[in-house]
Amino acid sequence: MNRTMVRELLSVALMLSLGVAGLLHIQYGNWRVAPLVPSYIMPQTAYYFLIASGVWVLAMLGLEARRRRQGQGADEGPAQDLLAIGLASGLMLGGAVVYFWMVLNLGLIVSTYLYNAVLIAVLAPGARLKSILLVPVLVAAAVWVLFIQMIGITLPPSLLF
Amino acid sequence: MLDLVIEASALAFHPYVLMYVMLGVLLGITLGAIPGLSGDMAIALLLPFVFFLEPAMAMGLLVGIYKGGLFGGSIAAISFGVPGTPGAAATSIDGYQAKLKGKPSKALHTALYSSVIGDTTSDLVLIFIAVPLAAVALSFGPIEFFALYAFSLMLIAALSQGMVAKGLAVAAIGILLAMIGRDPITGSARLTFGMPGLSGGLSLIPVLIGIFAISEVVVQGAKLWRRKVDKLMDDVAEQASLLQGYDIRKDQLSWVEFKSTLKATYIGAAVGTFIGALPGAGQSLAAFMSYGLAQRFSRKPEEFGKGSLEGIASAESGNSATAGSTFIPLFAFGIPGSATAALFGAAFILMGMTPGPSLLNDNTEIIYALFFTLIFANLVNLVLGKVLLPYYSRIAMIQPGYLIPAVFILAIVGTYAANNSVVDVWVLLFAGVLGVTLRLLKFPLAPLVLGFIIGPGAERALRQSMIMGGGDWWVLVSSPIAIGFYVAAVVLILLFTFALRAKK
Amino acid sequence: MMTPKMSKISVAISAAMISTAMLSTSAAASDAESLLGSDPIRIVMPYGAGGSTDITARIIAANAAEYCGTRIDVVSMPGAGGMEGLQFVADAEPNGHTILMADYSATITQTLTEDTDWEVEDWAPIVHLTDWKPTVYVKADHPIQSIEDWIELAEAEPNTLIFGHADPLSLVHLPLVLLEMETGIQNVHLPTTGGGETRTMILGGHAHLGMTLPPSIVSNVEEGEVTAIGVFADERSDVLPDVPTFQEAGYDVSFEAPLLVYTFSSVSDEIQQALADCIMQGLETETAQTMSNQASAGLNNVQGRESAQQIYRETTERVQEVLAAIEQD
Repeated sequence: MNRTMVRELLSVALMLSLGVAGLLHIQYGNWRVAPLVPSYIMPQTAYYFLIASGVWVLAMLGLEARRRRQGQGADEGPAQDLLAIGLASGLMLGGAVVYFWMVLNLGLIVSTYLYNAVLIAVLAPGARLKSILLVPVLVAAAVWVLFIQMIGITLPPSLLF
Repeated sequence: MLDLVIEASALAFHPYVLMYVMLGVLLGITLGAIPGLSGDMAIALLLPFVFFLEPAMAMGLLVGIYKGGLFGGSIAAISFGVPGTPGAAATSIDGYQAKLKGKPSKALHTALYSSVIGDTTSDLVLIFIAVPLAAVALSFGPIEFFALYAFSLMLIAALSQGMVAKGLAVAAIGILLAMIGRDPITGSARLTFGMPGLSGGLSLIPVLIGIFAISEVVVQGAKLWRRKVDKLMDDVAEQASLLQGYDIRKDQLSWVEFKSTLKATYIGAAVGTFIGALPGAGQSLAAFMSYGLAQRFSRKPEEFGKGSLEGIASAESGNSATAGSTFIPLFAFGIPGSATAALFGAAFILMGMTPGPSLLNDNTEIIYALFFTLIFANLVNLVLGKVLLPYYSRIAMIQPGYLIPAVFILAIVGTYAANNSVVDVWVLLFAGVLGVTLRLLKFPLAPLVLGFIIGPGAERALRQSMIMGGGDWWVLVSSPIAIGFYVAAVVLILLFTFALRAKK
Repeated sequence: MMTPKMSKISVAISAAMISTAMLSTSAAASDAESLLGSDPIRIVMPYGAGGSTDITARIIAANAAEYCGTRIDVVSMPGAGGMEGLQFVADAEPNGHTILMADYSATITQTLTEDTDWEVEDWAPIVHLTDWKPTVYVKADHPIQSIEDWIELAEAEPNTLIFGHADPLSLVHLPLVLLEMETGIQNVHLPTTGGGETRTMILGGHAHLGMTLPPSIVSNVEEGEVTAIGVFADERSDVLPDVPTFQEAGYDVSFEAPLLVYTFSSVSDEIQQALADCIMQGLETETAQTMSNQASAGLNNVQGRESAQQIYRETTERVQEVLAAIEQD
């Protein structure tokens, strides 16, 4: 069991479970009656494709495994570092939820400054305190000019700036 | 006739008009370069002012914005892997890879030249053969559209080399994402999982930027963090930023390289012009189809997806070649074939010109002037682009530790601003999670986006066809155009399978 | 490094744009000013940019700003089938700076058929801009060339004529449902993405009949490409004066669609009145009227709150009746 194998099996599991779950949803879900063709015709086709592709990949995997029993080392893709990926996803995607919530409640410019500073502090190799504090000023200013001055972005009223 | 040309050119080449064209192109390139924003938005903002300007000037401004925006989208696509506009999604596949290999300037120049060539081709088609092409476009009803979409889907299946099964699977996921929201026939909400915010469906921009860009930015962020940790642990000397090692003189597009991209550019120009003339088909479809076909006909198809200049040229030329032809249905029948055409239609209306067959007869001079402006704006685009590109390629090479946070934030705020929609931001982040997952599992991403783009059209076309045919599936092959598409799809797939066998 | 570069360009552009905007707002003041303050007013339009509603909203923005004493921005929020736009106005601070412009599909039909945070009565109509008259049209060389032809053919061969219209239950679909109830004819209902696609289908011969609003087919009618056969209104349309109404043809079906400006009902009465006044003043100006004529926007008989409220109540009743009748089927 090398990494490629695990990855492919996970992919297959994803395809099959999505496809089957979808078909069950069509079977038991609440779909409004439509003229001539059911409302779920397109999703249904997509689920069939998902299941068929899953089976196909699985078959290929079986062939592959038989062909080269000796196996070879896992290829290290750029995205193999799960710890780094997990942390970056958490910080950037989870952080973005907090950031945008702050934009809506605290204010666009203040939030942009803070979030940008946090990102630089965590991500930039060798960032000094000076650049952590100053670069976000430029980014916040750019956001201000572009979105507030030029485009007149429509945001709910917020607490700060 | 000669009088007309002279009068029209006097209108079109008035110094003020030229100034407005330049201002427009500058504005368009800048807005297009910001993820989420496009020229369309600026055009919408400027609509009321159109009334107060001379028609020729107003047209110059709008045309400039539109064309600048089409090319501007490729700047962000190449520099940050973030398609600035939906049309630039295909450009980002190879463009960003080329940049990572230290060739941003070559990539950007290829994009600029192919964009201008594609655009000009399309404008010439608009000027000289608008009417016959419009007649062809009209014969595309639901049955023909469904065949076109099926053909495009087959093409993507063939496009994801080596992992056709996974390509099909993500295309299916893309279609499923597109099904969320209101059923187009009955109007009822479906697949929304009880969330009212989803009842209008997922918008294109957040899905596109989330899948392609946010996932990429997160992966880059992960790499940066790993480097930072390594640095803290080893306390090694500070790594040189990319910018310090970058020599723009070594990154010039040579004549030979330019010539090698021309075939791809022509394919893009032809496909883009044709797709652009079909009401509702859109820039992204044109770009992806050109990309797929150019790969089929390329001498080096294996380089596609790894920074191929041909890949950039085909996608960008296909995208820009919709610029002229999207006006064909508007001029011929008053039917806006795209959001941009609808905005231009509104501008015409505010200036007292009704889009439609009488447009040319009633306003001959101004329309001829518009034709001149269309061509002239391409020149301005070329020159301004050329002047600005060295700076843009440098921006692309700024230390990623500072660049990535800024790009990430711009993508979020830009996505919000595009539709003033909070839901869109959550969709963006969700699409980012999905994109990261699919990247980790080594799924190709392009088929997902194409599936998402053509999913609603394909479904509507299918169900409209069935309604028209009274529920009989044979209605799908009741049109010669549709049969042509199905045959072409089968032939292409066979050709591709055998070509691949032969190479092995 | 990116930042200074970009901002230089954008400062220049924004300077240009702001100065243009100033030109249009600097003049006159009025009593609306004291009530409304100087923050910009947003007209939220739950549709995409570029359509007839968008043009009308922009005509208001360009002309009423002067009388309302502050800048007016048009915001397009087509998300969630327009529901996001309504939600935004409903959630906004009730100070009259966020107003809605929509036809009845958004505020009445969708509110009645979907699960929303508001009721139909929560929308306070303040200006009645115009009435749209849904119009049925066919291709010029189609055998059907009048209302009588249509009914006759539909009675002879039920469910063969394909009728293209935008969203189900929208203002270009409900009148068809009403007519079918009145006459008992049956057509194949083919939903399209909107007026543009309907027209493509008619011109390309894919659909036999279509329904749309008059301004969007005037040019095709004049060129002789399509024939408008009937209007679902009490009176004929100004832009298509030769086209009879369905009432003239002897079918008592009329369903005009008022285009209204709304505030949320929590906005105070004075502010509602001030907004109504300044928008109406703006639309009475010569520039506004010229713009309206060029765009066939029909803003020549703009009415205030009373008319708006009355027509809103009437329309609500009618929509409720039709929806109830559809339910029974």
